[in-house]
Amino acid sequence: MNVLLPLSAHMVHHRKLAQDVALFQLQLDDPFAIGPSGENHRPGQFVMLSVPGVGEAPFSICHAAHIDYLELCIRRTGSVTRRLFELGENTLVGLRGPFGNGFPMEKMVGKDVLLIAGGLGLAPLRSVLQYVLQHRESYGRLILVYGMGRQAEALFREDLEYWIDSTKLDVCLAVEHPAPKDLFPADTGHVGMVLERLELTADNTVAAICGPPVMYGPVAKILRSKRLYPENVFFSFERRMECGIGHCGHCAISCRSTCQDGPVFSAWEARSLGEPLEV
Amino acid sequence: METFTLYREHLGQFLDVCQEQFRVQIPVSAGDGRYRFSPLAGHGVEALALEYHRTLLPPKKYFLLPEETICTFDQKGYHPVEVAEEPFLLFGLHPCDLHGLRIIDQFFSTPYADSAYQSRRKNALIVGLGCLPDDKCFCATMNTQQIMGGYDLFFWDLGERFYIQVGSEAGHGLIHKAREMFHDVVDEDRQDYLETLYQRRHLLTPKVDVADLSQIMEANPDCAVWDELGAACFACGACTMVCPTCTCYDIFDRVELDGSGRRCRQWDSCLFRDFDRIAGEVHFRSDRSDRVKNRFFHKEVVHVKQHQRSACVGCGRCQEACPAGIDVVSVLSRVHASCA
Ligand SMILES: Cc1cc2nc3c(=O)[nH]c(=O)nc-3n(C[C@H](O)[C@H](O)[C@H](O)COP(=O)(O)OP(=O)(O)OC[C@H]3O[C@@H](n4cnc5c(N)ncnc54)[C@H](O)[C@@H]3O)c2cc1C
Ligand code: SF4
Ligand code: SF4
Ligand code: FES
Repeated sequence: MNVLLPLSAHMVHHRKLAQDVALFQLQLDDPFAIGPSGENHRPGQFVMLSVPGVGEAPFSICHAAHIDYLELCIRRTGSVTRRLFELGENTLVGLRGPFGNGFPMEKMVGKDVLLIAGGLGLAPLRSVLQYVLQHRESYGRLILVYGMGRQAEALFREDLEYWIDSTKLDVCLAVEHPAPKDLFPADTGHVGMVLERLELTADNTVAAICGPPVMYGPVAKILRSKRLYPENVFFSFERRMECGIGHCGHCAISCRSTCQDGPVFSAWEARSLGEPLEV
Repeated sequence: METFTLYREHLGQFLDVCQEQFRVQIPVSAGDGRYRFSPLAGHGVEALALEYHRTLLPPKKYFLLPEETICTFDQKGYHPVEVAEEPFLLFGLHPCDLHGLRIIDQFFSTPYADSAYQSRRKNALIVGLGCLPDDKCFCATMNTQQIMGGYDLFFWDLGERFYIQVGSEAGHGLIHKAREMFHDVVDEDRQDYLETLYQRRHLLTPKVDVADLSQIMEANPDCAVWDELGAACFACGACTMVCPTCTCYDIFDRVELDGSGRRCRQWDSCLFRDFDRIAGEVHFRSDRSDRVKNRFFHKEVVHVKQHQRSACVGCGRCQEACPAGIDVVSVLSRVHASCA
């Protein structure tokens, strides 16, 4: 079997979530193919999505494994993503995966789960959140801290409304530039400010973090000051990826492949790989 | 260990027999004291350069092609391509290259098998060739002068005859096809072989002290050497292309006018500035010194932790290829000196 060969798939639907961000639904052409079907991944894993003639890029699966198609939340930024936004429904794409370790859901069992998302980082954390809701009795408190520049950039608005109303989790939004017509209750500022005032049980909380790299240093510092164990704090890392199978070398951080050993590393692992995090 | 001898004047005949079944590749001169592996069919046995020290490109070029098609695509989807390879025979690999091949064999089998690499590899017979070092070889420093298997046959040049070790059943199969040319080893052959080993051993002395090397590198990550190398290096990537254990590649699409096309891969280099670029023009090793250091750390620290050995086999190719004259031996000795 050639792991570098994409499985043919179709983009069945897409809808805009915010400026330059859309949700894409994809389905493998062969229902029996072993590949990213939407039903067989762990939260935090990613796929390699190909657009014929343009290329391939990694994207996180943004839902827990339970539906028979794949959902990816994608920002328009370069060649592959730009072309993707131009494609009509029912066009051919390619999929490989799922790849990566994902977030350690077993390690979180019985613990409070703190999700810290910045911008598009909500995509992989949404899969963790849905997973915890699916197995609600196995986990303690569920807290989502979600930071963004403006509320107009908020992704998954229907979900947010539902999560905010739900008693199954606590949602704290951090918005840097509030506007008069904002829909959701939110703090003004970045995620760090929200984190500072959260009451956490230090020895019983596991944190999962995904967002822009600038967020990681300050978040690690705050979680340390709250005495969370560095082996209970998990960051999802973004690197350039080409193969997804640990061979092409592009995603290497020191001695680890982000595509195979990651993209999720504990704060302790990340620091031992040379990432400038305080743990 | 099964051993035979073969008279020098029979080597050509033997290779002809090999050619009936295999595309035979041999080291030939590329002018200017350089060598390359090339098909015997295009050159004839007179071109065989038994005295070569290193080829421009390592044997990896036969297994991880400089560029190849991964799959094709059209309106209907993505389609596999056959790696239709006739069996081939690589004649004349030195011990350092056998080590290099073993390192990348292992690399391309975990955590997934690279199917193209592995199917070419399964199709290849490897014939090793004993050697004496030149001024750029430093196998004795990296402990790769030792022959530790990884060949089907191994040839030692004893002058008017070769002393041949058989390393596999497939190797024996080759001998069997031309059995009448080969002679059983007698005491005199054994004596000459041991004498050759003895002479070789005395030419092979370590050029740098590499004891504690990875510990020293880790303890001293800001060693001034890296900045100096960063200033000298052109980021041309030649060192990685010629390295028998550098395996990085890039994936991209080639498109025809009708929208169909090929997904390809090509050798890539961690020395290139865009190697780790992600969206937003973000780089993780934007300084050349970081990239040079990363290459050395990968060979001497990371690989040691993962596989208990350096990933440099001491072949000397990168020194020969580098327009900035950077050579591993002097880099390692300067790094090591920081702990003197
Ligand atoms: C594990 C993982 C999960 C991810 N999950 C998601 C996700 O869920 N959603 C999401 O949207 N993204 C995600 N990403 C990021 C996503 O992979 C990138 O945004 C994507 O690769 C961009 O591909 P592209 O071809 O559109 O951009 P590229 O064409 O690669 O370009 C990226 C940027 O670089 C510039 N650029 C292009 N070519 C060059 C060049 N030759 N030299 C210099 N600059 C150039 C472009 O202008 C652009 O700004 C993830 C990444 C990883 C590693
Ligand atoms: S680093 Fe240089 S000397 Fe070492 S194996 Fe690679 S090319 Fe040969
Ligand atoms: S060959 Fe020399 S100049 Fe070129 S990238 Fe390697 S070290 Fe730098
Ligand atoms: S993406 Fe190729 S090694 Fe990770």
